[in-house]
Amino acid sequence: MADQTAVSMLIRLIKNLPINSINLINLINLMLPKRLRSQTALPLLLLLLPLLFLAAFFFYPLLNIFRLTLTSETIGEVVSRPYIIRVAWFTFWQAAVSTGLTLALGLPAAYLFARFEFPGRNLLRALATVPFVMPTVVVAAAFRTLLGNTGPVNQALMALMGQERPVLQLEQTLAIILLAHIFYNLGVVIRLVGGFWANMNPRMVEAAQVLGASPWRAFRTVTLPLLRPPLLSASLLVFLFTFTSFGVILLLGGPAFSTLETEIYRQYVNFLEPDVAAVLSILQIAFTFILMSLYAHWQQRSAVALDFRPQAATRRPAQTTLQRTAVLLLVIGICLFLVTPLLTLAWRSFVGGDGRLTLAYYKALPVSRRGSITFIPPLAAVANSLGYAVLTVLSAGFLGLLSALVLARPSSLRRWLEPVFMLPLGASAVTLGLGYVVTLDRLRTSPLLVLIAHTLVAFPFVVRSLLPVLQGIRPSLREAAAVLGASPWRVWREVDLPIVGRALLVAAVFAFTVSLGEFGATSFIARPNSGFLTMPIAIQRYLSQPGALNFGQALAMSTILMVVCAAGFVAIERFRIADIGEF
Amino acid sequence: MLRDVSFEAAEGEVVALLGPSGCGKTTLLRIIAGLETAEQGRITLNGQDLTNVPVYRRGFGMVFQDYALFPHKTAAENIAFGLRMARWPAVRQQERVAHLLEMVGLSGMGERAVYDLSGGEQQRVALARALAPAPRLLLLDEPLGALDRALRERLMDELRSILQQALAEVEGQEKVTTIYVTHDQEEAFAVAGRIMVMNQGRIEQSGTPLELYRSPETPFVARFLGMDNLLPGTVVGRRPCLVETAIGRVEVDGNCEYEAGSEGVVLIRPEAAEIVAAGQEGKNELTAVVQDISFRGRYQIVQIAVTKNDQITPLKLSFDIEQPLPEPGGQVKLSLLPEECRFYDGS
Repeated sequence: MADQTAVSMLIRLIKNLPINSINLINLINLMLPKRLRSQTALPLLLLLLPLLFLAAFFFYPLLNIFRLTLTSETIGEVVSRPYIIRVAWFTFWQAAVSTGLTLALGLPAAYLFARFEFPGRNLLRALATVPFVMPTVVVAAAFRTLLGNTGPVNQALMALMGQERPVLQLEQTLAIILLAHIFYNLGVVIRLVGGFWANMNPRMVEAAQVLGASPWRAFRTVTLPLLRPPLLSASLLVFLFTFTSFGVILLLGGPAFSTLETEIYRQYVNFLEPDVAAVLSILQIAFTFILMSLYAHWQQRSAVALDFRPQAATRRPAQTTLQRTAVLLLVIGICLFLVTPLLTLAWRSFVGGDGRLTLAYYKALPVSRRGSITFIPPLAAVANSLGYAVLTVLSAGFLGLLSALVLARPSSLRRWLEPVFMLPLGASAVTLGLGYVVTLDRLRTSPLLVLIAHTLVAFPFVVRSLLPVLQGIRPSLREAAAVLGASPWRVWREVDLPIVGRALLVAAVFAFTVSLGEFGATSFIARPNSGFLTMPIAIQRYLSQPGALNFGQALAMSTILMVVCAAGFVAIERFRIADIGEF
Repeated sequence: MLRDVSFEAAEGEVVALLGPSGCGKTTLLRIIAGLETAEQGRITLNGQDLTNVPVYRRGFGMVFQDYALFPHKTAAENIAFGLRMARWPAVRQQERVAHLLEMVGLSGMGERAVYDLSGGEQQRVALARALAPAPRLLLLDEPLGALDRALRERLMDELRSILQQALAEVEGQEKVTTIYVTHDQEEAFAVAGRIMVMNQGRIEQSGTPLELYRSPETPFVARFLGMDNLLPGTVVGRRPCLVETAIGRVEVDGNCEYEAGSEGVVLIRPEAAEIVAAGQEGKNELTAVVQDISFRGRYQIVQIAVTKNDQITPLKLSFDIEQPLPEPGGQVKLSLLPEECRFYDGS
């Protein structure tokens, strides 16, 4: 009898022992000095891996670039060269003009999308953002195809105006650079500003009008100030993207134009002056860091919810003739400007030199030809790119998930860790590439380097996709699950995981498309006679060589890239939940 | 911060924790639920010490202020969540969910997504979810707080009947005890059998709604219950208890234990006043000017102003709807019943 009670007591004791992992960690916590407890212990452990990764493959290469240039008076000397000053000035200048033009076109478009309901609205809005996920080489190829001297636009104009020579000579001009920038970034403005605008309560403007303000006055004094946060965010972002624009300047602008990014590349690859390249990298980092800080600052401000309404409630169908015309112009404009280049690209890849439809360019892809500028069949480049993309999804996804999980819980760590994790977004890929060839030269022959570069570039996108969703899970949801009987692990499985699942898909697709299209860093690292050429590099090389077959193969690969990225984008749209405050 | 809080709830009772924001009532509720730990103290249920039992093993039900419905599950899936955790067989789960949907008046809406439901509907799903596993203790954290006034009034009555129905859910189980947290005195009075008024981490008074209303034990409780007529005063007589205030010498209920000269506060309950007819006399007579009369159905709230020694004191009194009163601006002679006046020592 006594034994039984003893046994039952023992059983009860054992049953009540905290033997699960969370309690184990609690146990560890209890052993730590009070200051370091639960708040920092577990998160730090999880963060170790991403932090180490960033330290080794981001900060270390960058610091090495610093070291290279601080050994001499190189910085002062280089920066004072008139050529360099011109390059820096041009970088700012074209970014500012690009941003201005994008805003000028993007704001009315954002307004129309935000306030009006019309058939095909959602599809059109998605189409407007497709350019953003396109690799720069694809965009370059598309614009060359459409607006080139032998392109359909010129052909049509020549026929119309009875001219012998091309009417629009846009190749390697500033105009085509600006056009490409607008093409890229219009979607950013439409999404960021339009999304915010759509959620704004229209009653505020109505209240202003009742109080006697004309529509223009109401816009100026009510709407515009409220739109300031997303406007500034969007402007900064577009400025950042055009400031660090590489592929567009290099491929569309040609040798006459140079920004800091392309100059870094040229100084290193063409002029064999790593010192100068390093100095320019420092400049680049400094500028982008300032821009990123500003952006982060404005991003916080725009996160304040201001009397939001559900989007559908604030939209109306277009009623007056003016409104209808505006919407029509919007539809035509977007189709014409944003969709046509890509369609033309696809179409031209099927058109032979004699003007007839052919699959010749596609058929040439698996063939490795002697004297070809790539020593491997182009199709192998496709395979390489896909392989890298899949691996990038895994590595960037894993590291990004760890980081997001920790950054999502409120803690004092977060405030200065989050900008640190976002830095790779602002650091130019070219600078990164330079850092790698300078620092990690031992790894240069390893296919790993490209993977590391891609992971770094994709990492901020993954975190950015996961973080808002994880942060959006209210603590009361987890508490409710716990009260209803879910153990901590069960809470994670029933609450966190399903909610984050969709975001994970979005993050995966982001990582995939970013890796596929990565050009800046890879152009430094990939060597032509190595087996790990990627599609963008191959396309670039084909584009830089004359000859219809080369050009055609470039188009064929670009089309493949384009289709995959577009499909990825459609997937992102399908699975993404959040509509406010993207990026 | 909670200080020296101690209370018991009997099986089947509905106890309300009533108090202003920041008084600690929600903290207390969360400690009971196990979502937070107290530095000192114990929680016992039927003699079983639950202080160290983790939240997911306590078998309680809780409705959160923001409902905390799982957005990625339907209404039925939400309600079934606790049943799944307790591993009920699927058939019994379905039956129970259907039964609960009916009980809260949402039959047939099980397949709706959470964000398709209105505020009132969400609140009912939250309640059904908490009740589904037949918890021994039900914790409600300002469940009507997020609703607009009309809906709140309606749901207050429904809630009471749902809780009573849940109480009647025997099935061989004990009756559900409920702890209800709110800052709204009306809600507490409508739903609870016993109310504990909390202030800055302490329980100021505990009693039935009637007890609280009849004799609030501190000025804080009186003010919280909507009794505004609190006048500073000094004791000038002990038997009967007389207090000198801004409106004159007031005789209050009972004999004073307080020394003459003690400072404190006099509460004049809204029902304390009677109209003195011409030629009659009454205790605590005063002459006042009627300022405003507001009809509230069975009674009328009268705002008067008493002038004495160039000082104007407003009082809010309640009269039967049939009681004739002068128009606003007119004079009226009143007497205050001593048994409806009370003195609190201190200020």
